[in-house]
Amino acid sequence: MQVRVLIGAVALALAFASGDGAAFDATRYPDWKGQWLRVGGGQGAPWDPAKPWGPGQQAPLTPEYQAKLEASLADQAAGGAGLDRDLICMTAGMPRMMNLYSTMEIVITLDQTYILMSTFNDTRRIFTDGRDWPADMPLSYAGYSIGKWIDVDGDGRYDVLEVETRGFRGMRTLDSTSIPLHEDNQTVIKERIYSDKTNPNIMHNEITIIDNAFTQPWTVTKDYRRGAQAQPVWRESECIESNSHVLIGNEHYMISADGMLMPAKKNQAPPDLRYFNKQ
Amino acid sequence: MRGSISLFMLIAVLCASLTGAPALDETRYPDWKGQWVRADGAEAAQWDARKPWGLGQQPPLISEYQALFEANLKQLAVGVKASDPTTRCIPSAMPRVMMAIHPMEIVVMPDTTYIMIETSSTLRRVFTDGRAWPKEREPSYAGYSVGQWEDTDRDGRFDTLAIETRWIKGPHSYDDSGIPLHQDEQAVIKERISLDRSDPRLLRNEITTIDNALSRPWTVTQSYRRVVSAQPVWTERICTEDSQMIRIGEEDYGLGSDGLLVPMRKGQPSPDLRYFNQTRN
Repeated sequence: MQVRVLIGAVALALAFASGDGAAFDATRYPDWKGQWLRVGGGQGAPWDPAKPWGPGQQAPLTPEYQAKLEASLADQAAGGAGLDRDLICMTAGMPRMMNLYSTMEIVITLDQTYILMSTFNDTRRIFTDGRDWPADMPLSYAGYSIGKWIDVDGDGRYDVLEVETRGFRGMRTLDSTSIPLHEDNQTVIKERIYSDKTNPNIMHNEITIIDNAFTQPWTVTKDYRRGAQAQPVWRESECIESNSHVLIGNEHYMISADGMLMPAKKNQAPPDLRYFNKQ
Repeated sequence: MRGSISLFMLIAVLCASLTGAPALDETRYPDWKGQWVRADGAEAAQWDARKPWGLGQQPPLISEYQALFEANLKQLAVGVKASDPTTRCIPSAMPRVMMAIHPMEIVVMPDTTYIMIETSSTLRRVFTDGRAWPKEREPSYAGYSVGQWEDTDRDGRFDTLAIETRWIKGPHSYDDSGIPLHQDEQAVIKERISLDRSDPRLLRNEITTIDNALSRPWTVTQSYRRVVSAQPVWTERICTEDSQMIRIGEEDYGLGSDGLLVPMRKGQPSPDLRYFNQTRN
């Protein structure tokens, strides 16, 4: 009798511990808690941190989009913003936000993994509940992400999060040089996120971009390091309050320290004030 | 009897060894999953949904800030929205953001409860790890929040999250009528969040604001309704993309649908173009 009760009790315990149903078993997932920061890249944070900023990135662009990049670089050299919308506090969107300009937190739950960025307070929801792509996918700069946990080494604990992201809005670029993505916003981004095998405080993100602005898929690996603070400081990076760049129509201007409109480029024409002249 | 206790302990040890210590025991926390929207409807854009917008809110302001509030209302009446920083894409800040004008998600984890609101892409971290208040923190629009779970009915499951928030950055107002908080940024917000006892689809947030612009603490309850959807739709709200306003110096200007600058009020002077060395043809 006692043996039967014991067997029943063990079975009950196993049922609670199995992870089936709604219970979240944190021991099955990697420990990605804490604050993550970018490794490498330096100022300007080029998309491929292993290559020089600007033309040195050697993005596999089609001739049409290579011309757009060169025009953007020329405009930036003249003082303009080129295709870069960061200057006017537009969200970086995917995949550029994974450049990790400030800090990142990853919150893992049973159904979703949240990637929380300090820059622009961007939030990514990666659905890991086994869902299919929705027929009427909401379009966004962050995109719609579906993820899958993989136990690569078969030790009973997930070690890789594979993510695919679609459903974009634009315009999006890859870094401050403004390597452009296609205006059709049909980008597909595949990520493999995992801890370094020898250093759990280093995380790797292999990002492959499939985009009609490219002649081939482009894979780049980003590295992130975990901050050492037990209670990290999370700063809001509110771009707008200190921003000195404005976009009027399609023209980029600046606000001077004394609060006046000023040109961003040499010989730039002032904005059209026709609606003021009518008064 | 001793055998039963041993058996119980065995089960407990087995459970603990299999699940590990860091696991979130979801049975101890309330189910606040899903998407929450403002229960009083988006049209009720005033801080206290039970009272009329504007002066009808009857905020217990000290005379100096009551005068500022009335001046803000007069400006609004002639189309000047300077008292509402959100029109310039400045985040709603605490406590206004808890009106949840746009959808909200609450993610409960053992050490932190995350409150994510689409408005201004707000992320609140409510630390529930038992930490003490830090000596100093850089003010932010979301503020710094420390929370404590309470089991008020002692049924073994937490039902109320009590939160205190400090170090909130201005400028901020309670709602779009421009009810001001004190400029000293010393406001303290206390919240008590719990499910409605008779309707678990409703979440109540009793918010008490203690602020030097008020003659006494001001308590208002915000209510949120859970959206019935297994896969709710989350949208991005990019204020800078949608904004039709530009601030140049101390003046707000509009942006017309043709991308040209337009005045926001009758007789508004055009921007000073002294830094341009050529005139537009």
